[in-house]
Amino acid sequence: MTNHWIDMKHADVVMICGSNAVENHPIAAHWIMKAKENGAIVVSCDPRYTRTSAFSDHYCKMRSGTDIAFVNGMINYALQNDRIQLEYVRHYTNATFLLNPEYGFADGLFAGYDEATRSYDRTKWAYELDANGVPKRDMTMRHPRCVLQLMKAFYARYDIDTVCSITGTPKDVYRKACEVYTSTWAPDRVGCWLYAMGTTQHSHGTQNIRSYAILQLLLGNMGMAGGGVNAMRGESNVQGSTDMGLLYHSLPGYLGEPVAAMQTLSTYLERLTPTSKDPLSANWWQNYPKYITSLLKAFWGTHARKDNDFAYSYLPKTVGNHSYMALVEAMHAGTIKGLFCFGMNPAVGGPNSTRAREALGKLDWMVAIDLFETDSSVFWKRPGADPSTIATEVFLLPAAASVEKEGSIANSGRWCQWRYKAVEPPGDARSDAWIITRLLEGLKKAYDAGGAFPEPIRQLSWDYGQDTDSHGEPDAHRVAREINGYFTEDRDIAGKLWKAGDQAPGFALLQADGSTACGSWIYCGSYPGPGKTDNRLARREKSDPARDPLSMHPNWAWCWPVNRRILYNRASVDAQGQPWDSKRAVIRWNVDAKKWEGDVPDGPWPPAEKLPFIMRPEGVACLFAVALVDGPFPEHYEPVESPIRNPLSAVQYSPVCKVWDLKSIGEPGEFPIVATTYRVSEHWQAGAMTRNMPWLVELVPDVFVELSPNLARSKGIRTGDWVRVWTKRGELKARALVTNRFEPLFVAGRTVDQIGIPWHWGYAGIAKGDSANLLTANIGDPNTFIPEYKAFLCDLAKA
Amino acid sequence: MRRSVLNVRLSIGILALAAIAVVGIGLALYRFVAGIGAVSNLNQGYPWGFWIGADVLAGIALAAGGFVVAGLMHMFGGERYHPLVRPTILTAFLGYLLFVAALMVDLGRPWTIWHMMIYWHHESPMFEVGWCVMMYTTILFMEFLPVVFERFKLDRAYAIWTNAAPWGAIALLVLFAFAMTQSIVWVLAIACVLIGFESLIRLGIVHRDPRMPTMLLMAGIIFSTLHQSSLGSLFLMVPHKLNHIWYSPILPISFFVSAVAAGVAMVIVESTASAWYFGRKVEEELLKDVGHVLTWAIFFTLALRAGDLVLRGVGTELLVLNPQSFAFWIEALVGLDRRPLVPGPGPSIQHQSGRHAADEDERQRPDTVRRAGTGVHVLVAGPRGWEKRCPLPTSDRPTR
Amino acid sequence: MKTKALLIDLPRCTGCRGCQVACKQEYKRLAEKATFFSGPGYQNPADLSAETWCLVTYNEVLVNGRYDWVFGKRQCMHCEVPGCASACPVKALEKLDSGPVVYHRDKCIGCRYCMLACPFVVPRFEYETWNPYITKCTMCAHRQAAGGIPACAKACPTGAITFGDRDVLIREAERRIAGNPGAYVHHIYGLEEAGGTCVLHISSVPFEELGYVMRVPRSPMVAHTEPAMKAVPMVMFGLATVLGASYALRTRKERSSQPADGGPTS
Repeated sequence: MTNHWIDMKHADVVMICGSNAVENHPIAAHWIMKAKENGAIVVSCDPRYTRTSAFSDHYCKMRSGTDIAFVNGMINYALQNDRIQLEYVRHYTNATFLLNPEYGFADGLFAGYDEATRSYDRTKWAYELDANGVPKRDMTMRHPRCVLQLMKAFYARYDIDTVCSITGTPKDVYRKACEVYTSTWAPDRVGCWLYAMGTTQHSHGTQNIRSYAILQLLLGNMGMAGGGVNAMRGESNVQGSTDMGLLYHSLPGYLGEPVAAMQTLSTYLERLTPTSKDPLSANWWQNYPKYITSLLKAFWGTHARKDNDFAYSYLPKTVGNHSYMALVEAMHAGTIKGLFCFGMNPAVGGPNSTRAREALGKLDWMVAIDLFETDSSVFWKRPGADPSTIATEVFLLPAAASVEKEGSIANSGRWCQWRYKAVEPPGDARSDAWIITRLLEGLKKAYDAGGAFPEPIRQLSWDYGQDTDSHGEPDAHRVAREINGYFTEDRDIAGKLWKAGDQAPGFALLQADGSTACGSWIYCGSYPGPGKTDNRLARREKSDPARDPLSMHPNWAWCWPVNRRILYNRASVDAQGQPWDSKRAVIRWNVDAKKWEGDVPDGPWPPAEKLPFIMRPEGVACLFAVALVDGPFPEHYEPVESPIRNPLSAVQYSPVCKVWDLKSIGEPGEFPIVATTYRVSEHWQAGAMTRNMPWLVELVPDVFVELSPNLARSKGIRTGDWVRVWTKRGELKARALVTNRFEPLFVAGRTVDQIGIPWHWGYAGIAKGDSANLLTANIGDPNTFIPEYKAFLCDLAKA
Repeated sequence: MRRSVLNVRLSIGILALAAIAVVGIGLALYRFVAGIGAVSNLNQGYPWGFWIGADVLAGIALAAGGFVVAGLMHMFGGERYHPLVRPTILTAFLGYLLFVAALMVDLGRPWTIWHMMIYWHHESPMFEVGWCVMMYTTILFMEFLPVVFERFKLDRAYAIWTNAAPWGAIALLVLFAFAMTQSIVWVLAIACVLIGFESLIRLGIVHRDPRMPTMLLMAGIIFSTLHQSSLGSLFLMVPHKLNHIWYSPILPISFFVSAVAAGVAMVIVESTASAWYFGRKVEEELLKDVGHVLTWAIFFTLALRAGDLVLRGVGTELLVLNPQSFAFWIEALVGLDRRPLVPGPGPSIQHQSGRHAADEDERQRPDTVRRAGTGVHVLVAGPRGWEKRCPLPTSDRPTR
Repeated sequence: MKTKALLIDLPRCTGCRGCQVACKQEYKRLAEKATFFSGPGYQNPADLSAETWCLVTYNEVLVNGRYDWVFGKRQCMHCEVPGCASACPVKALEKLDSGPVVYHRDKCIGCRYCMLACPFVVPRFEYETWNPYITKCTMCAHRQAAGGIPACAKACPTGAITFGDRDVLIREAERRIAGNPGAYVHHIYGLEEAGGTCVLHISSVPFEELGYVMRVPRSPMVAHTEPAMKAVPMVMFGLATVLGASYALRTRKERSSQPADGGPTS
């Protein structure tokens, strides 16, 4: 999140789009309730009337997969009706920037598309630069090639009639949503956008998020209290895990993935370190060298030196697509021989479960590390499988739960909170840290007998101790201190002498010369001293409301970066450093004292000395963005499986998205019903924990399909009947729940039905049922390769 | 032909009854292994069922004969009814013993039944019911003792009993009064009356009946009256669940009145049956007089019921076609025998005892069915079904 | 001591059932075997039971031509003058001054009269065991005694369940109804029902649409039995007097012809 959970209560309008927040993030409802008490209007956009919709003031039904059309229509509404915060847009976004003449967009494609490779040459989208290499700008925003004018032309196609014909939303309902949300263009009104998997799990999921960012920027809601683009993460520490680089495409601290072509540290840095010639741009990523070097020092300690490129050659390099679906395909092909599954359940949680389960059967060995016997750990004896034909050697290691070990968790708001061990893990269950430490010891020993390229393993710096308990549990504090970073040698910086071994106080002091080590630069400053009392993640001071009117609680836990609670907060003030919205001032420049008050400012410089969006080389936020591979503006395309032809252009679905097997894609003639998958409050993710909890199994024991009364009547289905749902990939059986909360949609001149299935079930656990992912396909967003779980085609009948 | 109890001939009827009894006892014992749910169809919406309706409500009425006869005879001068005293006391005593045994099966925690003696809640109708049962069963036991004394020729015990029984009865009455009021004032008032009366007897100012201490009979009448009416009081608590065809503020009174009628009818049945079984002569003249009493009792019961329905404005409901009015009419027509009310020759006394018994059987049907009906109606109304069928009086509805 | 109560603000309820699970967890009640759903929407189990003392219901209600999804909460209402406590012959159910109606297991005889007397159909009986007890919500009296609040109120994320002084909560409920025209129906369920309860509900739709028991008299249940119970000593006194007098009158001729002591006669 750019903002944080408590901050939601400051919003004037809360937009919940691409999320069923009240259902799946129930504590969000606590803060949304506070917003309502303060007079906020809550809008829910969802294919189905959910528990969130029941909690909201305004509900917009829409067809699954049409979010871009929906939001683009709101952007168009804002642009056409001058409901944009003009000064904010002018100074803090690239609306004024001019694009090079080669940029264009026609009939669904941007300039630079190559049909053969199904990719874009993004140099065609570059800014027009002046003689100094700085992008040209028209501050009046009237130039035909300035971003704002190009936007107006691009978005003009998304008028209300067109949008409603695509999404199926009734026009009066949609118009009201546009009015309500764009009312936050005023400097003293702010809108908060909440999203989750409903947004991201599409073949154009990243562009979905882009559309929110564009709208929020036009309305001046970024960097403001009660504003922001706020992802509600789906696991209590997924934020922490991505902070630590568990995503396939990043290193800790969101440093870029080293690909095979980057053979040296300098090539890596050359490709990834952005440059800017604009003196007003802080271009914070210019510090890349400091962060990657410090990371390498953390990994390999004294074995990472200037003369060996800081052991950069020890880093594994990617050789293609290493995303989840690519891994499953590689397992299927036999390229990947073995798999560690730490708290992950591919047999249930990934798309096309049949393929995933088969892939597991092709492995030589598999290790599942989990609290319960998960569906993946028993894939070899699942219904319909013949264990005698499966050669995979499967290990199940019992894992300690989060309350059975010490460590930290980062929530969606980037607040990193220290957690204590409450109880001993049962039996032989051990923490992941313990398991990985033992694994490493075993690997190091195995290399004694030979093996290719042992150095990266043998020279790993692994100084976490084994003395916190009788089992040899590593000390989480040592890990946390390494993540914070420390000096590896004595250094004098700006007159202060830092000794080797001192904890680093903040990432501004990290060095590119190897004199600092840091496990994740964004966490630098979280543990700035040697003792447990220096652990800022463990702070628990609630602030005095009189001194902290925005409830930022700066002394409760610690948030990255540098405890800055609201990101991009320099955009919340004008050029004099005075807040656009004085009622909810995030930061304010005290003219007399010549310092900032309020939240940690996004860069300590005085007002107007640096532009607010310091992580962009431009220094301003991007309405037009070159960073994504599928387009600088989000354009509506249909989901890969769609009931209608794309009314907007000749391009049916994302021209860049990845479809692993075109033969597995169904046609609307055979599969006329739109399907989506979702979650229920009572179960969580692949159900390994919740389907083993009797109190939760009592509430929702069985998988079910929700469908509208119209559809049910036409198929002769009543609530409680068993139904079969099938797609080109597979089929499942579930009970039908006929509900008024699904309505047929009127789309492109005809009626389209939608159904939905919660995906928590599998064949293991107390509560068993068919997995909804038997139905979904291996289709990936081109930027992240997140699967398109949320919109596909199916048919159903009474079983 | 004289038949002794022990040389009973095993007729088909006896065998059938015995088989039912064996199955019943078996199920009752199983209840103590697997719970009430295993042997009944009771559930959270129906905590009481036919067992309570038939056994407690209707069955107890049948055992009411004891106090009625005692009242008729001793208090109101029906000396001629004296031969009926012992049989009716026996019926009542056995009836109450069986009732208590049956209650042990229905109570969830019967081994704690003594709790009512130490945990007092005098505002609860159930408390009154429990205490009345305890007290009245004790009185019945005391009234039954002379039979034992005579059989085993325990003259001394008999003499002690004759002297002590009245004081025992007074003690029970006073204790009961205290438990039901927690008020010294009422206890003193009642004690005065009772002790005063007994003293008058001891002093010879009031005639002393050598056959049965008057105080004992009086205690029986008081406890039995309260018991019968307390069963009605139980249902006062449920105006929202009992259809207003049956719910009435005078439920305790109507339960009492129907108990009188049922008791009288039972006296006739039981006298006739035992005479036939033991080969004695039916005391026809006596039973004819009892029959007259029964006629009045039934008449009064009917009048009370009709008056109650009319005065509460429910009369018109009975003409509506729905399950409730239907049930009422079946109960009223099939259950209530109005033949005694039809003018004409009185019940003809036939010398064939079989037909005689049949007439009498019919007459004791009415009130047991109605009492069972009251119980059954609250029980078969369904967990929430009463909502549609029982409008609340407007004055007693929430307004905010 | 001020009477405590719970305010259930149904429009704030999200149907998450955190309260239902918190209650089970607090009292270690068993989960019931369920298949699919036992009531409309996601409802499970089918009703309150010996193991389930708090139940959330799911109701699709037509409001101004569109369907809304409105949630209800079913639990013991903790009446000010409880029918169950009035009915119980051994005072196994007791209304505490602090608000909760609690159950003393050690006193119960299992007569189930409380189940009959409760107008909200709340007390549940353990039919499946030879050693059964009555069970129901006790407003977490033990937590209150330790200075805490009921588990359901603690778990609720939106403040749909709030705990506090009864009079304060009533004023708050009235304030919310008055301050949000159109958002609530003008009825505080539990304010007057059965003489007033300590669990108050406010709703956006009429309570009948949520399956709430509507056939509840305004007077407490005990008001109906009080006259009969108060009459008992009078009946005793009256009967004793009447019976004694009629006997004495009837036998006044015979009293002189009696021996002073008795003997067995037949």
